[in-house]
Amino acid sequence: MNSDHFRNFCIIAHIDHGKSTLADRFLEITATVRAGEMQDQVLDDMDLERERGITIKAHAITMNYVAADKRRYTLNLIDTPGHVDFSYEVSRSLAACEGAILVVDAAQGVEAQTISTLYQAIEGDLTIIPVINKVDLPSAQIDVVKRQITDLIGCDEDEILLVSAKSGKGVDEILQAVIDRVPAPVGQKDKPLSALVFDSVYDPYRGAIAYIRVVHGEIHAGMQIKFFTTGKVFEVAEVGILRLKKEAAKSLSVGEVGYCIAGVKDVQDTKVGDTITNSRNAATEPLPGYRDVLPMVYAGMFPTVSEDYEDLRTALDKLRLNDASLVFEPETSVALGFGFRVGFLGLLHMEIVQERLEREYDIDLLTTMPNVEFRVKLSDGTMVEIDNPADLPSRGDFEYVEEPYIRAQIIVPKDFIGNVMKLAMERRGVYKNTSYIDPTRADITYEFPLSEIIFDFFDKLKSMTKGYASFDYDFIGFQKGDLVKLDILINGDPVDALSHIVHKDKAYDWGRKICKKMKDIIPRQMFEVAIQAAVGSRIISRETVRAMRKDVTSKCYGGDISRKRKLLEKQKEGKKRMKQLGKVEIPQDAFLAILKVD
Amino acid sequence: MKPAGPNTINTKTAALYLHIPFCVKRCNYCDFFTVAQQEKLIPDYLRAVLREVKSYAVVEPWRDEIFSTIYFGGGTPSLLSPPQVGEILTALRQSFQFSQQPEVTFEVNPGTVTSGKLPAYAAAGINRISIGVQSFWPHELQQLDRLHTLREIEATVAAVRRSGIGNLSIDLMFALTGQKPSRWRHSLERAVTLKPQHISAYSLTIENGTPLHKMVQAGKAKPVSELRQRIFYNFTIEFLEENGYEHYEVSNYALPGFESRHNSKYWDGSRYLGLGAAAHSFDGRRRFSNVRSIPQYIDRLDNGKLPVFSEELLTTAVRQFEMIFLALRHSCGLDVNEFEARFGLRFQEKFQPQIDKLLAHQPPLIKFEDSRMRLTREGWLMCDSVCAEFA
Repeated sequence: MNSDHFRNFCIIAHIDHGKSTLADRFLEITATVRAGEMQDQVLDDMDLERERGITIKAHAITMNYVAADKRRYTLNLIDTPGHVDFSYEVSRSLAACEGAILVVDAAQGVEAQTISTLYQAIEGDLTIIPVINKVDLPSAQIDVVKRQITDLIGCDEDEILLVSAKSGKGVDEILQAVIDRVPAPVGQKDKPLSALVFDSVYDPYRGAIAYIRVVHGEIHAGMQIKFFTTGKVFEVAEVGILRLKKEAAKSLSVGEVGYCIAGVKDVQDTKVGDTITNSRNAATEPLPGYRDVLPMVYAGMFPTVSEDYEDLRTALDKLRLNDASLVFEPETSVALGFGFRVGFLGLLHMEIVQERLEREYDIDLLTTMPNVEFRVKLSDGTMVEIDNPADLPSRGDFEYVEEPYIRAQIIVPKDFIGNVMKLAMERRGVYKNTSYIDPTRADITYEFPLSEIIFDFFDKLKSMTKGYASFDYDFIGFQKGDLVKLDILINGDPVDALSHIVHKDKAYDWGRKICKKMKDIIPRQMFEVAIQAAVGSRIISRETVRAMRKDVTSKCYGGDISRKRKLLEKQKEGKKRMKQLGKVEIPQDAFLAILKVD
Repeated sequence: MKPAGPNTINTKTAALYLHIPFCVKRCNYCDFFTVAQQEKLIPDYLRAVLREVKSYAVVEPWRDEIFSTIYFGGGTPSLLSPPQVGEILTALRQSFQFSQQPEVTFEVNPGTVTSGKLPAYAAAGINRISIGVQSFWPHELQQLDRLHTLREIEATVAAVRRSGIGNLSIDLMFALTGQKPSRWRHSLERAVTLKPQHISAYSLTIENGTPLHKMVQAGKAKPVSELRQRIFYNFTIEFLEENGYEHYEVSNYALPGFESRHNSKYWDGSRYLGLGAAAHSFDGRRRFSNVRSIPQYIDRLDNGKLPVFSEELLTTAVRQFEMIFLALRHSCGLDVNEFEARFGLRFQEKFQPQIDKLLAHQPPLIKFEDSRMRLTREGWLMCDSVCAEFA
């Protein structure tokens, strides 16, 4: 079978610029979705994705379209996740395509995230089809956005399509452009099988299902296949294409996109970016670009009720079946008991996992403040990685600490450059470069320690720029930092779950603020509670929760004993939900105090 | 002879409470069920009370119960005329069985009783008067929305004495918003010179929903600091003890032999029947309360129904907790042997962590003496927290 009627493409767009609406129009035009099957934005099939209005995991769908030349084409739309936490998945989705539709909102213009994905696509030699969406909006600035796009990708203005995905206007022209401009896949059918895994999902009945793009050769049921990174061999049970549901096929050949079921137990063995080959006639090289996705952010997750520990373990195990980037190991905290240290790709990933555990598995969680991974050069010369601040050795036992850095791209109207620079300075940013997307909008590059941006950087950036800034980042490596461990002590005892690694210059300020916040959160008890912040043995801040000195209600309400009893029971109930540290009772909120510090 | 404590009092007799919810004016701190300027409803209300009396007269366990106290509380019972009081007492005597010489208390507000009324109340059977004085500072009385004057307080006390009623109680309040210690000392000093048999000294509680609460929220009144409340409370205990009053309950003080027998029944697990709107009852197994509305109360009884609004059957766990926290409010404390006998378990074993914690507190909050658990001096100040531990 010839592959010249295949077109594999994706859509690059900023959140809310209309990617999902456009995808819906494609499905309607190509009759991939019949009337009645249509739900808004069918590609986002997780509830959470729908609620957050973003695509978390990539998906793909195969459509058929009869073009102007009356030929029937097979179009594979490969969706890309819309968040920086999942940038590696984005890169693998792009690698499965020959073309990309760049969608830019006519009123909003080009945003940082669009640009970074676009650059990846250009580097991967994808054909870019520029589209301006929402051209019907009264606030549309078509000429301005056209100029941004031509500056960005060096195309001619007349290559840019004007579209309203909402009304459907111009959508047919996009599909025609995909056929005209995006090259058909090139591969050799007679070469050994090479197929790129660009996504995988877990099915409770069929195991891990790999979403693949065949580059060379052919894959069919009964074939013995091998995954390059693990070397594991499986027999293919079924291959097929992805319509709204899976549709089994005899085989998948050069250029085709579909799924492969091969009795793989969990998604740890169907890693995104991996290459599948024929184990009996193997390709000599894997496809380029595979890398292990490493967690960027770690946090402790503890059940609020200790009896839920086993349930939490089971739930995490189940989530991992479906999420190869989730890593965890048991952790014991003096303060919080038994739980897990969990690694995430980023804060959104963390929130998603947290929400799924609470919603789908009904586990009440206490998540400690997230931290990045540090590298510590010990005094004996060895280098160790630590993902838990409590594990940082004491000052004399290590030479230095390295922390992860990222390169950030911030796009902002030029009036806000001053504000961005101010924020960057507070966050230890190292200025690199400014360029202009158009006369009014600057594209600023900074390097930041990752730890400075994982909490609330984006929120702060948004509020300092009236919502105009957009932001994206890439991990660039580890750098030495003058870092210290900030301990929080309650009545003299350090609380491991509150330890935090911070830059030396910030330790005092942080310590003071955390102590203040904790003072507001910890209720008064029958004795004095001292909250201290310490670096090593040096106390740098102290707050005191004064002892409760009088707590007695005068009246017993003329025989209304029930009311009195209920008040006392409520008082006791409030205490039960607290964590006991020594004799001090601490509300769960206190463990998140650091996140609430301004 | 030391007066008997609530756990040793004859628990076989019951108490009877009668709620008179009418007031000339509502005080800004009050969150009891009361209504102002509705005196025209009094005759209908009393008619309903008499129906309620008749209804319970034939109902277990009240039919066979021996009552040893009656308490007219409010509101302002002294808005009733002596004949109205007499009619109720007569109906009660006809309907229920009473012990010899029951304690019959009547709450009065100074200014609502003329000197003629008190002998008439006494003649009707009232033998204990509780006067809602609250303060001996004119300015503080105004601040509390109390309508009476110092002269009226004096006159009322004198009238009680003349009426031959020998058992007098005075209600006082401290920790009023903005109150200075010297003012409180003055009120206490004036109170003891009147030589009442009993003094209730309540720390002002700012209850949600009261006008006072709104004033505090709006910054128009400043609550007394906790430290100062502590000083007020400790001073009250010391001062009254020096003057011969025994501190026998969180807020109550009495000359020997003059504890309120009625109130003690709330704390010692006795049965009590509450009549009138919003009144609370306990029949040994159930706690129940009446509707909090005068028209509804009247309407229910006119239609031959009991005016019960809510009820709760007590579980064993609840009964255990109630016994502990009610007993702790009294100076006699909890009789551990009685608790163990009643519930068939070892008190120290069941509550080991709580006991350890309260004993380890510096200074300790509880003490064990003669197989009783009592609050220490520090424990009195922290009574709610101590009690909550046992919930």
